[in-house]
Amino acid sequence: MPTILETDVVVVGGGMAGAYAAIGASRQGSKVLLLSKGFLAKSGCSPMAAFLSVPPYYTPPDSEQSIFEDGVTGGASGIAGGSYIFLANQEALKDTFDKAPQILADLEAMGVYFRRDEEGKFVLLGSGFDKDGKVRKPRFSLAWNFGLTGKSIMDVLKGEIIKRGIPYKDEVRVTKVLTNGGAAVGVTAIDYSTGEFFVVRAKSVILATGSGVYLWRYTTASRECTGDGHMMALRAGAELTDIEFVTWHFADVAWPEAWRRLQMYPQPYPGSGFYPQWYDSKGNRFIKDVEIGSKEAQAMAVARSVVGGTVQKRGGYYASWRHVSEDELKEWFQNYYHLKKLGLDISLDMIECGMSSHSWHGGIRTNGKTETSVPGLYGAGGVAPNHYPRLHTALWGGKVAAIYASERAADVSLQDLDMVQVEDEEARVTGLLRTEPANGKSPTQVKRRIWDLFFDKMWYIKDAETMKKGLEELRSIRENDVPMMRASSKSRNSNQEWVDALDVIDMLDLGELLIMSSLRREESRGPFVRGDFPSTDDERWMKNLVIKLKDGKPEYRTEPVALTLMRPKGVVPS
Amino acid sequence: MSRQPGGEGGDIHVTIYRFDPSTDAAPRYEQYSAPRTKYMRIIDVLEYLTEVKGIGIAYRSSCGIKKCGTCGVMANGVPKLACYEAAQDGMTIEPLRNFRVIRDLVTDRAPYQEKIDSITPFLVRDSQPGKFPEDLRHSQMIERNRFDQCITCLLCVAACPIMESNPSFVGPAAATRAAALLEDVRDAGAEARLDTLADEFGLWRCHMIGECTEVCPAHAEPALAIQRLRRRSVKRTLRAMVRRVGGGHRP
Repeated sequence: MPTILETDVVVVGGGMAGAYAAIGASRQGSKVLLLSKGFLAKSGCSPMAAFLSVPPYYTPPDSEQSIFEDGVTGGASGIAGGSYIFLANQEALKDTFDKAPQILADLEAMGVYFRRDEEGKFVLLGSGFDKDGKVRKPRFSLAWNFGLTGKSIMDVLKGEIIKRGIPYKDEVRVTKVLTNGGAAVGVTAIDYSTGEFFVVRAKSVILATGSGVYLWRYTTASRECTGDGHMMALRAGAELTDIEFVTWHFADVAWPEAWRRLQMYPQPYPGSGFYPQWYDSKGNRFIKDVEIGSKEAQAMAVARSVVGGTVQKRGGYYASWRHVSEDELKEWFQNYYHLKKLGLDISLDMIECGMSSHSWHGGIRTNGKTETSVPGLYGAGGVAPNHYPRLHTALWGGKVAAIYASERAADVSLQDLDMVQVEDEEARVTGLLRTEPANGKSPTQVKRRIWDLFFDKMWYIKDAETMKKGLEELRSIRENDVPMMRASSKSRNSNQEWVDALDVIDMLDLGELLIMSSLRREESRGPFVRGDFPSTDDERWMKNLVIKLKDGKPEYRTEPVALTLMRPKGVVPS
Repeated sequence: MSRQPGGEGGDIHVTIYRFDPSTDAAPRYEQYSAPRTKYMRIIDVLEYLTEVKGIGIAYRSSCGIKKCGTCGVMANGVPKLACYEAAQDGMTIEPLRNFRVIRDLVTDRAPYQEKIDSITPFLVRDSQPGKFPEDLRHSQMIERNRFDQCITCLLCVAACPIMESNPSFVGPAAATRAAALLEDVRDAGAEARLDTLADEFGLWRCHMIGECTEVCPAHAEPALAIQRLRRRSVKRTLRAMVRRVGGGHRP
């Protein structure tokens, strides 16, 4: 019989959404338990975040309206090479911006330092350049250095969790959302440092597990982001939406491979407004200044050059700092020290970069209250980003989920667990802790195959042919490799191969849904780019693509987008 | 054009500490090799061995870019971040010193987390700020920021000779966190923090050898943090003495 812990609200995830949700729920008077796949505040993508938006501290001609419009369109309006998205839940997105000032004030009260100048004004960072070469939209803030923002905020949130005495457990792989009568009533998990399987009984479950972007070998996502929360939600009866939308980065370091998440931020920096210049393998400058303001335009510029043969997907193009002084880099660019560590002299040397998957626009389908279709189950942050995968979405999600999860916790009593579910899950999880067959493969090796498959077949630009090949390969991994998965040891001490085996199952399931969704969406839109359908098709596809399981099989449907606050020009109200 | 990175081609050979206390009577050292890649880091070797070769070596890593601070190991006897340090042929890789080994390169951070918890690791305010943004200039925050660069990788704890002989010592990482908070102009938590830090296992145990700053990959200067805390602690004691001695003669 596994240990059963009881709490009001269980938060799954130790990043920004999870930490802020735990703090929020504790303030609401709920008893909270936070479970983190890595270490609280030291795992997930949040510690790597470079900067944070601070509406309403924008600079004219920006306005509240223009910031919101950028959120709906994906920031691509009026910028070369990008198409708009227009699939967000607009009311929820509006709330994300509306609540941002109070959230930032709260962070500052807890001890975050947003960088100021000597007059006490925020130092704002621009997103790119306009057509006249002026820095575009300075509205992003640093806490307190470019490259340390996420880490610095997470330290403060962790401090607040300690201050409030909120219990948390590190290195816990949550495996299932338990349900009873259609509502979420808890989770099962393994503490993988000791190997103990345990159960949490709760009135509300907040999933804050981040994106699933670590399906790709080259990614900016941390190791934990393998889509655990997506699949747990789906299997519990919730819906996923628009998971085919993945944003790509072009400015991440190619070598060493370990640093594939290290970004040579392309936008104009605060201070003197310097930024790197980009050269292809022929030594020609590429990526125009106007393209810097849009991730889509940047990725497209690299993709064009990949097709043209002057750069590769993972290398063959370079960031140059030769026009910038070392003092400026030291002052404003935390990643400067990395370059120094390689023994490179940045006044001479250029840094080879590559493309990587970055953030997910889709995820668990939630409403403006972070509620899923399963009572008691909430999605916050990167796992449910509402087409706005940013730090302040994570904070908004944490704040809102805390409120509604606590409200529910005050209303309902702890429900009974369905012990058959618990026993079945324990059998499934412990069944993966096996060392047979002797000639089998390590789950970590299988994971690597999935990463490579996604980078190869589900790259930034894809078409039906490559995706179908990807699907075939994925199914072959599931049929041939999964039964052969075996760990090197049955030890329960920090058995990471065991965690990898659990991840592999979720990655294959989520990966298949992602390929199927991408095949269905026969258009290109924002970061979703198909070579065989290069145009945006509002008539057929200005819709959310929703997935739900019925008898264990995925069912797909489309849902129209409610254009309540903003509509694209030329689209007639329906 | 860019200079070409050197050192590619051939294999890199490493010796790795392997130990699972639940199955092994004693630790052992195993030799492995991996094809050398550009600017190869220690973590690249570990990823190759686990992901490509399927060898079940246990190690930690989350971000790979010196932000999460979880991949610390001893490389040739010196604490290093596996993601940050270049892999070298003939290198010996072991778990961080001064920590209990859970398995292979994975160590138990929990006891040290308790020390961090003990120094009141959050901003203490006398009163909540009345407005946002509150009045602050960057020059007021520079010293705080220096220590805030700490990523709690605990390499300093592994390097510290005092931690080795006296595990009760509060240690350099907790001191660095404390210094970041004490140097924050908004903080009013000095009393509680200095009470903890000035006790018998606190700041005065440090011999100022400076190994911690030597190995810090984040430029957070733990030795300087301890120095600053000592200075504050001395001032506080002196002030208290002056108050006691001068108690009856106040004009």
